[in-house]
Amino acid sequence: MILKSLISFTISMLLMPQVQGGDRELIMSSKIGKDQRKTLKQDLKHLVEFNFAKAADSRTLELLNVNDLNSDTAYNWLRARVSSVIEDSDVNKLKISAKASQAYPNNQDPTIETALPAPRQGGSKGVTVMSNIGTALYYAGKTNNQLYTLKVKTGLFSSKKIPLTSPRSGIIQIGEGLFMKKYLMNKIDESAMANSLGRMAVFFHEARHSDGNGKSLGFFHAVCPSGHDFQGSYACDRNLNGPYSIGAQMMKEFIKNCDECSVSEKEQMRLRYLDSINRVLDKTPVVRENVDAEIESLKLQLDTKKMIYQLEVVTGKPTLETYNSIINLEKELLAKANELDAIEFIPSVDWDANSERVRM
Amino acid sequence: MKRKHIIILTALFITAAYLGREYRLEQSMPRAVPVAAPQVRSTFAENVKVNEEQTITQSAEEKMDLAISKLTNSMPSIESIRQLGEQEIHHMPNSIAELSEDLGNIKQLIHDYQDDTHLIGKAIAFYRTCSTQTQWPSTVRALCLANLHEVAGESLDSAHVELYRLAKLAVELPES
Repeated sequence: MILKSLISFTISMLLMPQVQGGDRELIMSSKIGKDQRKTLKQDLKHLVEFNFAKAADSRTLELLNVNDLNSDTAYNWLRARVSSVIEDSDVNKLKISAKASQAYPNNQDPTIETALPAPRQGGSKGVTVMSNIGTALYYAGKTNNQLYTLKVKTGLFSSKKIPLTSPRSGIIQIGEGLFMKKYLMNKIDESAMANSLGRMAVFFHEARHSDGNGKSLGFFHAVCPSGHDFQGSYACDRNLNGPYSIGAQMMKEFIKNCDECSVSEKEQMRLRYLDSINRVLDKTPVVRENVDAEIESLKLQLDTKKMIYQLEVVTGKPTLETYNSIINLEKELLAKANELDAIEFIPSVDWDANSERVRM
Repeated sequence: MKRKHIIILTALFITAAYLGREYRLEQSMPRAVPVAAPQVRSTFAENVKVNEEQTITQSAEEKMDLAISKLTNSMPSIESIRQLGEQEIHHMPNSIAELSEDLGNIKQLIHDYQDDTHLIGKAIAFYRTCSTQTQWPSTVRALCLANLHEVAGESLDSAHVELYRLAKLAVELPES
């Protein structure tokens, strides 16, 4: 009898992490550090209890496609796009199984721009803050006509299988960057509301990557243009309702409604808002065709330099000289086109946020 | 009872007791306790250091000077930001996030010492210098410009078009 009860107690304790796995069924991998899990749970709790007392910006309602912004609608929006949070690890270390599938929707390829990254001079790889790996895996499966299933460890002997049938499967990877002390707005009280809201804004950003179909699938980032702080990197959006817009808009709502945030914290939140909104490209300059011989010549030079640079990248020796000449040629071309009134500004628009999925 | 059964029973009891203790510890964790970052040990060690430093009374002016000095000496240039890896710039780079605390401190001091014209003057001088640093990140410059407008009443109109757009967005934020 005693033996029986002890065995059942032991089994129930071993299974406990699965039961305790998350807030409103959000799965959290047991491979995430205990402190990080606890922090994230507290952040979600802060969001659930957050009082969005002031009327929401009409643009926020439009972006989230909700009639009212409150803790429930905000949390539900997030939950519809995030099912599980996993540890930061290389894709080849994740437990992924595959089976052939022809059930993917037959639509357009997603918009993925070609980057021209600057040669890095011994820069660090950097730390992961947060990334939406579910969408990337869904797209990889779609490309290879294979349906992937990810196994997430939730306890000592328990795990959960998540079939990646849609970008909405929502697998988010979190890294130490999200929890680093220097990233905190309140370094003295690490459990401060402002710190949670900062992380939640990042969460909302990543959740947006779970949206889209065909051309808009995943709301993949655009390459920031020449002259931008992040020029040449995938750190901008060429639409008005992408992850950076969502992150900025949520930060705006947090600033407006956080009664317990100090002046200092709100100022830091303001900087984060600017960081996000600065990456939303509201228009794209396009130089018109066959307007002027000099412009055509500059375009030809630019294409040639880009080709040379791509070769340098392929051979593993990209040079700053070629890169800078591309940047300078781009500037020269835009200046000349501007002078001749030969630039057309294509305004960015909202992308279709409805998500696609595998036919069941 | 056989010896084998006693051993199994003891092993199970120890395991259950251990897991039960872990579970109780987890449950009894007060929610308001500062949540540790992944580098748990060093984080708490740093916390103690910070608190000790705070016991040394600093005047508002010293705090202002310290914040300005940190921002002026440590602000990463656009060029250095462009050297960071994709992962590091997907969200606000840590080098900027770290210094944002000092921008916050300046704003807090302006708020707390509204009648101290000398202190406010220092802040305005910093905001003016900051907004014209072409090698600094544009978001930082825009925030400084927005503050220059809010604190000193200076117009945004003379700023570069992109800086103007960002500063205006910052000014238009509620509660700013």
